[in-house]
Amino acid sequence: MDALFQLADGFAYVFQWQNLLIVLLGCVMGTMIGMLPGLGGSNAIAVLLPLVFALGLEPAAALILFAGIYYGSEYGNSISAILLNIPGTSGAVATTFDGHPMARDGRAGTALAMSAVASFVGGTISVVGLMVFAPLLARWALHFGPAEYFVLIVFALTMVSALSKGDALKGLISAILGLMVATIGLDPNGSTARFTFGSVKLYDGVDFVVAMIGLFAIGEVLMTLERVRQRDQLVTLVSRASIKLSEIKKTVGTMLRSSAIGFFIGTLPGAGATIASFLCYIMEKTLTGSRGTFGDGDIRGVAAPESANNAAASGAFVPLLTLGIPGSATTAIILVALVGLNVRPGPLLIGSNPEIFWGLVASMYVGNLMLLVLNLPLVGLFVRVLMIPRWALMPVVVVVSFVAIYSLNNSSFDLLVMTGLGIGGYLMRKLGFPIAPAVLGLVLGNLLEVNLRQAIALSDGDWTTLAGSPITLVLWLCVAASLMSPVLPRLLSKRARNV
Amino acid sequence: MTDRISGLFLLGVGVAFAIAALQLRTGFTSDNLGPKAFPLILAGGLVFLSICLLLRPGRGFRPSWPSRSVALGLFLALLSLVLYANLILWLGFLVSTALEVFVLCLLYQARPLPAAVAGVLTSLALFGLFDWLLGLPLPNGTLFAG
Repeated sequence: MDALFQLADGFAYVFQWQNLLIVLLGCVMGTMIGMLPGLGGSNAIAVLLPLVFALGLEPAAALILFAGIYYGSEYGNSISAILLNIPGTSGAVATTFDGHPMARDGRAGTALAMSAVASFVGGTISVVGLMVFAPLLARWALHFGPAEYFVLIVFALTMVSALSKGDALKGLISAILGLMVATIGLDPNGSTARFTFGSVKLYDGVDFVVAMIGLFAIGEVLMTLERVRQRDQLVTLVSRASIKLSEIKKTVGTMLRSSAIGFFIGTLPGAGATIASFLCYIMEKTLTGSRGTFGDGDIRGVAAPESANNAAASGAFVPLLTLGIPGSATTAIILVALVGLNVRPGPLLIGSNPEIFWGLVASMYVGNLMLLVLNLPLVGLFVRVLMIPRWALMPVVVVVSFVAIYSLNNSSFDLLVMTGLGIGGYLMRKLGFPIAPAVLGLVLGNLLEVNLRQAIALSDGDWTTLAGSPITLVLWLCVAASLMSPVLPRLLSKRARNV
Repeated sequence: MTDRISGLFLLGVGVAFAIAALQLRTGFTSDNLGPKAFPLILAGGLVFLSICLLLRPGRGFRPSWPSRSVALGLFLALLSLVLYANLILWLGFLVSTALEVFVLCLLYQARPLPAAVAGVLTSLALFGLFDWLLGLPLPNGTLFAG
């Protein structure tokens, strides 16, 4: 009952006109940026961080904006997946299997509408999940001590490493590199300067925002600079998206199942939209059997991954807000934003800052509805973004990143750090090391060390405390299981094509 | 082969990190672990994992390195970024940004005239947004300051 009152407060917050505007802005920007191949929610949020700090948005409003960009971009991804056969990010790969054949069949409008409806269903159902499960998890997490948190963070890191593209070994190395960069600066006790090469500028460590923009914006620009000579994209323009009621009816079961599963997978660190969309696609393909035309433009093949990846986007907020531990690159950047605004997510957040949590929940209901209402008639307009030539877009991304970073501290040293990390990110991608684990390591490194040191101090130097409670033992089992699971994504993507 | 070289390089990083960590001086107020333990654990982890990578490099992994002309483009892009970072205070935001966008557009194979137009427009638009609308001062350039 109490929760309903707080939800009402959340709605009251969102319905203030400036906050409605922020939700709208987030959804529209997310859709447009998500649509552009190579740029996803994480790039957009990274570049916008300094802007949000400069605007002096309150934390709840900033979170609403970023969440809007996040789920908006999950939807935007599907547009380029359907029309161009290029998934904006890996979360939309499964959408290409049936979405693009539909577009080639002349049913692009239907596929886009299906994607909008499925995203809406996935988004809405998973908000209910967020509302119910986040407070429960937060209450449970109150019993976590430093040892539990230490193992939990290790679990998040191994899981992300194991599930990211490439092999698990490289994922783990990437995570350790991120953790190492996180140790630069004064140590958590503030007594020793570590790895600063004698430079006072590094005493505060590497600024997360600088690192994020370097890895995501500059690194991405270097990658696209390489692809620019390859080919031009052919855009199929659609005027509007529409879908028959009978077609929606056919996919109701698919959407409900995929939303529920997508949400739970989204709450797991590392798994997220990619695994959720593949898993739901395979499940629906198997359930339909020979009655479907999966792979040749079956509408359920669009509904399943699209509801799953949107549901996973909301699910990812559960560990972020209740444990303070992000499970993906995008949520890691949102954590950076919140910490920059002096909000430390954790078990106490829902109680101490109810407007942040309930405002977010309410904004997600509103935002998902907005996306649906906007996209059905206006998708033709949005699609024109795909016609912006690459040569004009990417240079703008670069200078916006530079201005954003410069305005943060008025320091051109930061610009060089950012460029350096951009080169690092480019080399890692080239050599097959995934970026996400490094980002997570960078963001969680300090927390990991603080909890380790507190745990060992509390036990007076006894290392067995790290496996001294039932919760830690279960978490260690999870760590072991995550290290065994790296074959999962490859297996899933193979099965999705072959079943 | 590439993986073995990465492994070897990372092994070096791990060892160097460990040596640097061992030389850290502990402040007089410290907990049981102190500032050295965590970096040392990380270094140990990296050394172990990079040896694994050396012994068992990824099967069939072959990075696609850019051709010579693309690599030159990448190098020029990076060079322009470093120059941009260093010149922004001297030339000021408007001039340096217009130049940087112009250069990058050319590297993305735009024709000169559209690239120049894009440079000027982007520069003006961003200056308007940040300096005027958001009130974040951008460098005017010491070159032009009387």
